Amino acid sequence: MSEMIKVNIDGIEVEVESGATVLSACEKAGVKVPVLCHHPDLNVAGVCRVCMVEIEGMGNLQASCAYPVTQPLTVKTKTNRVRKARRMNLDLVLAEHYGDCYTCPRNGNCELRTLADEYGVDKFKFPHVDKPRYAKDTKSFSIIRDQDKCIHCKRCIRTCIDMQKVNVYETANKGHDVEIQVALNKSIADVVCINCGQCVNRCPTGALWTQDVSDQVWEDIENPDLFVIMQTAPSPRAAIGEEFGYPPGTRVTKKLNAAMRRAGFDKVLDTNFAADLTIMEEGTELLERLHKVIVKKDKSVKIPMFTSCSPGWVKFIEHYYPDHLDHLSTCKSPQQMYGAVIKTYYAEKIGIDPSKIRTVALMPCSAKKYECNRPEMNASGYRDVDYGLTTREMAMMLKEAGLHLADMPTEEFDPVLGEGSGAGMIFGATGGVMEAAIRTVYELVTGRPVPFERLNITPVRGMEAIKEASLKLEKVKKEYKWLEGVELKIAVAHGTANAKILMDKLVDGTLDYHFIEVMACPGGCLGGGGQPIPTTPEIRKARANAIYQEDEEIEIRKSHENPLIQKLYKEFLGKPGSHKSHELLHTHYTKRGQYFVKD
Amino acid sequence: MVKAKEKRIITGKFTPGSGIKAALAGKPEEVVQEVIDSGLRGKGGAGFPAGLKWRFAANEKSDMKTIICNADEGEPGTFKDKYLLDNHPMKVLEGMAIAGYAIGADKGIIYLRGEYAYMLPSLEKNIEDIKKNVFSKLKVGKKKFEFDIKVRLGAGAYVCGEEFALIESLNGNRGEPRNKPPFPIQKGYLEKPTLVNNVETFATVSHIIEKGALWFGKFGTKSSKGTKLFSISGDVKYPGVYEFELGVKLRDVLELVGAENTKSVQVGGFSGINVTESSFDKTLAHGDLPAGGSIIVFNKDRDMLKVLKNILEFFEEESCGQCTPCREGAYQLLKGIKMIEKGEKSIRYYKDLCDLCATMKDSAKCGLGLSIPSPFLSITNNFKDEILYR
Amino acid sequence: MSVNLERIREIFSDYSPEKGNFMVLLHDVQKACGNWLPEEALMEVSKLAKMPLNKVYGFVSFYTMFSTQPRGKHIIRVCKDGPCAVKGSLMLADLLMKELDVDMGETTDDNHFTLEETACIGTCTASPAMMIDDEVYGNVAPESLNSILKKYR
Repeated sequence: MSEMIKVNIDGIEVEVESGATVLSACEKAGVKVPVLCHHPDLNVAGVCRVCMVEIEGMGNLQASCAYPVTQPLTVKTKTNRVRKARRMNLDLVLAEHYGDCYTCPRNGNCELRTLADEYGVDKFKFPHVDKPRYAKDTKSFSIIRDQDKCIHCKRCIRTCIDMQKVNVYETANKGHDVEIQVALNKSIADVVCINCGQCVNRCPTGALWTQDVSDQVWEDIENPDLFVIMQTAPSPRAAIGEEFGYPPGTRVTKKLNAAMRRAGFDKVLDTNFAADLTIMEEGTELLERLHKVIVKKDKSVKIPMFTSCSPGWVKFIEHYYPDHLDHLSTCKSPQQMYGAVIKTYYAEKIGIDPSKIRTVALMPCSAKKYECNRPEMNASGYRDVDYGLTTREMAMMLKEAGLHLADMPTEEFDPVLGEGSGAGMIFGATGGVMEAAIRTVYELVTGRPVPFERLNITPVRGMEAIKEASLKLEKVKKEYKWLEGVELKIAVAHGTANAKILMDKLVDGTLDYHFIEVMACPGGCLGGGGQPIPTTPEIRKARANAIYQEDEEIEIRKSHENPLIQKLYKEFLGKPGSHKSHELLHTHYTKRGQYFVKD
Repeated sequence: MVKAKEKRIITGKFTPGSGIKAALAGKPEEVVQEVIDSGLRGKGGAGFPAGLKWRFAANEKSDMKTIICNADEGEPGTFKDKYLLDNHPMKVLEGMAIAGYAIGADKGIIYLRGEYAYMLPSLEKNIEDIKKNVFSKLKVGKKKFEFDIKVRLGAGAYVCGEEFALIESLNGNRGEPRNKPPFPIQKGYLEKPTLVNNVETFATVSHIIEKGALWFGKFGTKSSKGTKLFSISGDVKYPGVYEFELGVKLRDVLELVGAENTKSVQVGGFSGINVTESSFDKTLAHGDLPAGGSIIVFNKDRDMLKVLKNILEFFEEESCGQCTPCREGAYQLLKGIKMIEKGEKSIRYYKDLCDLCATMKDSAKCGLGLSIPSPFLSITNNFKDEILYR
Repeated sequence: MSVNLERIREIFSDYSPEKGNFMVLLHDVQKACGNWLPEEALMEVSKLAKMPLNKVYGFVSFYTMFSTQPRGKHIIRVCKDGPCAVKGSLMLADLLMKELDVDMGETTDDNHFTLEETACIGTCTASPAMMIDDEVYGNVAPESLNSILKKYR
């Protein structure tokens, strides 16, 4: 550990590690300093100049977010000089921000507006933007950009370039003409955007938002000819409570079921079921690949196999590693598998014409909106999933309908395709798909449950950037003799920057694993781009805890033991990896590359 | 071009090789000490003691260090670095080599502003010459002395005169100043220790090392040693580059260059301050009038509102645009002064603009934003009636 | 005009991949593309420099001497700062706009001239000043303008 240094903040003495920022010392001292460009997940920018403090011995005020403590400091945070400078810089930001707050999606949850309130802004000190200057970019299925709201804090840039290594945004021009732009002022839809929505989660204002489909969903709910089926992923359930004032990590699954039924959804299904289905297909695919590679020495089959349930990750690899798409599992994501099964098997079960069914997926994810609109996602003969709804949009719909979670009774999911296993539940956290897959694959191969206490494969859990584990396959079942003694090597990465580290190794030929889980978002789906704002490492940890708790409470914790899954295979799909499975549950990918095609 | 009966140091006689030879005769730390003892201040505008910066850079441990000669001379009304590179290039190149020896760097880069691209061929020829005729014949102990110099171009961004912006620009990035610390001497070009000095600083160093700190210390004032080049333009009979001993009275300078009917003088360029008759007896030295390289003279026919707007337009465009007080502050100052001119804002609004200046001076991220209030406040103060009550 | 990608590749092979060369290299690419940087050129630069397109674009847009809009064969830059502004660069700019029948920042219909403003070019002893390509003209008197332009026509 590095040296501890004393910092005096407004008379309160704290110790911080050498190199820590003055802002973090203030936090430690319990002194709140306003910030706009600072975000706990991101690199330092030091550009908004709102977090100014007085540091003894320095001529000018200093940005506390950017000033490293390397020697003992005396800091003052609430002198007149400090407050005036903060207020003035805030006034300047307000002057360049087009503040039509009533119509803003961040109304009520805007960091700029909160600061204006805290700093007693009662008038515009300077002439301000009072007419929109830009056309909104609404072309993308996922992300909407309204430059009029932009305050140039560069959080989106740092998210996109540094945190996710996607490279959509950058500052353009200089001086007062500075704008945050997509290269050559293109639409987000036309560039390398992977729709992860992490920029949306970190934007302090309403400059970035997701394409909201709730109006169409309301229309369909109200249409008597249509049968609207909701499927909910695990992560929104662990987070939507935040939109209703619950602390992060509060589990509200069953109240949410009740609320959604009251909102008018005809059926409420559990995406965990489809996650179990994914495990069956993906586990089988992994074993098939291993067989071809180990036994048949088939060079055309690629190992390691990467998971494919994160649509942000899928688009990332399509853009940045188009020559390595063979490493992606061909399995669709649970959302899409479920859509395909609902409009075929389930439609028949409940006796409803699939053309009359609309499937809505409640997801933590902005990229799911793009995914369900991919042209190839129509294996059922219809759009497999009609709408991807984010956690935030769902919360808004419920509020609009006067449905508050606190007032709701608890209700179960609808039966037939209703429930998932605990293995499906943990898909929401980074490492979850891997854990679920290993629970099933290990048992398929050896006939014994995974050798971990209470089935919890802890090495793949937690928020470490890249997690690795290996598992020796011993005393395998007869039919898996070829796997005897093989050490199954696995890795888990969350956030595309971490995935990039693995991919670069793959390109170099130094990546030595059999199976790799990648989630585009930090923390996995629970940190998705459609989740409640704000997001911080602490909030994501709390959501992960909720997910793991729910897993432990579910009786069935292995996908292959889910009786509904067994029934589905028996009655409809045959066996995992069957022809029918491939038709409905598997997909293909597109080599996209990094550059837009000129019109 | 130089017409003054000036104290010539920087523009004086110099035998190529004499500076670097004198440097190599001593140890690197002795060279650093000599520069410290000379009391030389950086000529780029901020006036930081050059020797101290060299010592910090020398103390950094690294496998690679770089010397950068800041030739991004962008301050309007400044052309003294161009003059030096045109007329005394060897001193500049030699000064860089001396710095390289002193801090342990074997590479130098001249960052030449894009608008001076036409100087590139002659500069590159001079570099070849000095490498062939001087450097190659030198030894450090038994080893050959090696120092490589390259010229790199800017492309039209005033802010790249700021040392971190310059380094960012060389690093293939937008020229946006970084947060300090760490400073360039710790993490600069290619994230390695980098010493950035102005063209004139390097030229001066060659003389200091040749003739010694003691000799140099005889010129100038107690806190501003030596001489300084000034680019003098505007309403004067004899515009040009002049070398004066620091501590020279502004009035004497004006007389010499044939300024008549003078209304005000912009001292230290756009980012400096505006002074009128009552301040002409002040001196150009650290702690008095800013001894930046540019002096622009305005005669009584000039409209100071137009001058002010011209200056603010410049900053509004040339701010890098990253920090709020500079980006939006410069814009609001310009807009505010235009609104007062048109009668759209009352004179009371001027007080708000002064408050804004206080914040800009206190919270901008780099020297550019910190200095915009100087011309604004000094011009509006000097010409309240003309600007605010017209 | 179409972009000669081969030429851009040649330019890249002229320089070592050191970051400090990026700016010089872009100057060369811009020259090769006819005084501006078309989309295709930026994409090629992005590929060759292994620098994402958003960064290339952010870089290019920062520096006023680069343009992502087509420009003429010759670029006329009129100094607009301080000493030149005092000594009639506005008038000079007006004259040029009339003479060439373009606004500031525009290119003549025959693609021959682009008229731009520039920050101080260090020719303050001879205000008003302007540059045409790499050539500096000081003390530009209205009556001398035509003879200067003639050289480029």
